[in-house]
Amino acid sequence: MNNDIQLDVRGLPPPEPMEQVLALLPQINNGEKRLRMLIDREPMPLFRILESENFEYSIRKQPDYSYEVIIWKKA
Amino acid sequence: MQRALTFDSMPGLMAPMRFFLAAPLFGMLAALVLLFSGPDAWLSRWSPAMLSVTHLFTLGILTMSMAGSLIQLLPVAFRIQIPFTNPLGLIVFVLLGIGTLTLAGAFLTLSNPLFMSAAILLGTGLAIFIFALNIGLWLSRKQQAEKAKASILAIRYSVASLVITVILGLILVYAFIHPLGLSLVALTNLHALWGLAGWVAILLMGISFQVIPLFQVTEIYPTGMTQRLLPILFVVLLLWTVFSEWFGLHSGLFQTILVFVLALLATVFTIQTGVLLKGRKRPAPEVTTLFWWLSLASLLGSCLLLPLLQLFSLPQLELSLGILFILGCAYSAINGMLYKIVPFLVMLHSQEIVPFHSGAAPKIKDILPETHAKRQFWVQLLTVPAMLAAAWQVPGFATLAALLLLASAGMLFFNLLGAVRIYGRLAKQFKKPVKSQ
Repeated sequence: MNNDIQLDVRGLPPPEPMEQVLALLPQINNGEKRLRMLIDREPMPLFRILESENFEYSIRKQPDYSYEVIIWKKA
Repeated sequence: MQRALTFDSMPGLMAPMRFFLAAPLFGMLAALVLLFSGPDAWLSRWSPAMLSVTHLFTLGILTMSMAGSLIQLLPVAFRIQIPFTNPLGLIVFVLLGIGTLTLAGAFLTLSNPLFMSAAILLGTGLAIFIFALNIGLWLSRKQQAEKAKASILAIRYSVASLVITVILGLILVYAFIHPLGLSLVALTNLHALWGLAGWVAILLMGISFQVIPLFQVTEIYPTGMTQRLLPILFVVLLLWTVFSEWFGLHSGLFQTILVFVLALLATVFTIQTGVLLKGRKRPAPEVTTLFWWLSLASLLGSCLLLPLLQLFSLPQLELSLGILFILGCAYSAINGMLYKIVPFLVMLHSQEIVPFHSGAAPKIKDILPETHAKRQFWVQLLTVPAMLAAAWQVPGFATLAALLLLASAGMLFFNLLGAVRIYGRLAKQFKKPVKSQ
């Protein structure tokens, strides 16, 4: 979707990716936009927070072994 | 209710944190023992005060924080769930804590009942810890993260070394109370070797393979090293044991050669880690990077002293080796890693209780300010040479080194406590309404 907010946190050490994602979550809270993030690792701790805050996510491994995570508000 | 349930089902903040907070308290206690014992403590590694301090360090600081880290790290990083983490963690913490205090007291008073009590408390506590860890590793053998294989292997070798260290420690207590005609010196050397070069060094190296590239933003370690270094190290320790005076194959020459191999292996690791840190993609060092440099420099010093000890068996050299490896290398690395782990844990757990859109969740840099951590680093940096000076009987340094250690450990404790208190304040503010939903 062109409307997605893009966030590339590859090459950043923890916890910077987590801090950046959390700062952006309010922008997709109304359900109009999704957040598309590129990250080096599976952000396991983030998933727990997303679940408890009523967000859904999909994760896809990229050819370069990084991950694409798409996050959106549960309908 | 949902949030409260999610929160309760993972290791609580205090599950690892009580281990992390206790570690610097044991450091402060070690400093007080040194302070009140004066220069006599520094006569040799066999002085009652030094034996007491050594175990306050190895059990109270190193084992305490390594156990806390494993409890936290295994489920989060490696998907290894330790059964009943919270109650078991608490039991291990209490037994390890009281056991360490009892053992430290036993060395100071040379009291047999205290040695027996310490053996029972530490033996039970560490047995529960090792058993729970192995159950966790076995239960989750199929879902362990692929990337983490090298680290899991390190944990296995390291925990196997801990088992050997504990058994040797228990035999030592028995042999001390009921003389068995065994050489206590040879047995102690074996116990120290497995504890320091096995349990501590193997875990430290294995964890470095993961955390140096991840947190310090460096290139990764060469696969040849991550796959081979630790198994070779473990075999060297086994061979050294077989060639000790305990076994029929006793050979002083082979033991000396193996010590050189051990020092060489550790040097290779040190240089490789140094090269990675030198090529960090972020030039400005964080406080954890500074602690890593101190740790590596001390490890390199240990690698030089270890072969030297084969030539000159001086009490001051032995003490210097212990200071460089235990305080300079292992404690500094752990100290630095705590400055990464603790603020991250506080942030993570705060997210669980603070509504994310409230803006009340604290930022990492506010949870544990870098300036406070750096101040403690400089004190720690001074503590290592001061301790070495005390070991070489430089007048005045016995007191100065103890005071510096007290300051360094005290600052670490209050820095960590400050971070936990931020969580405590948020919990008070937000947790009640969540629970009453």
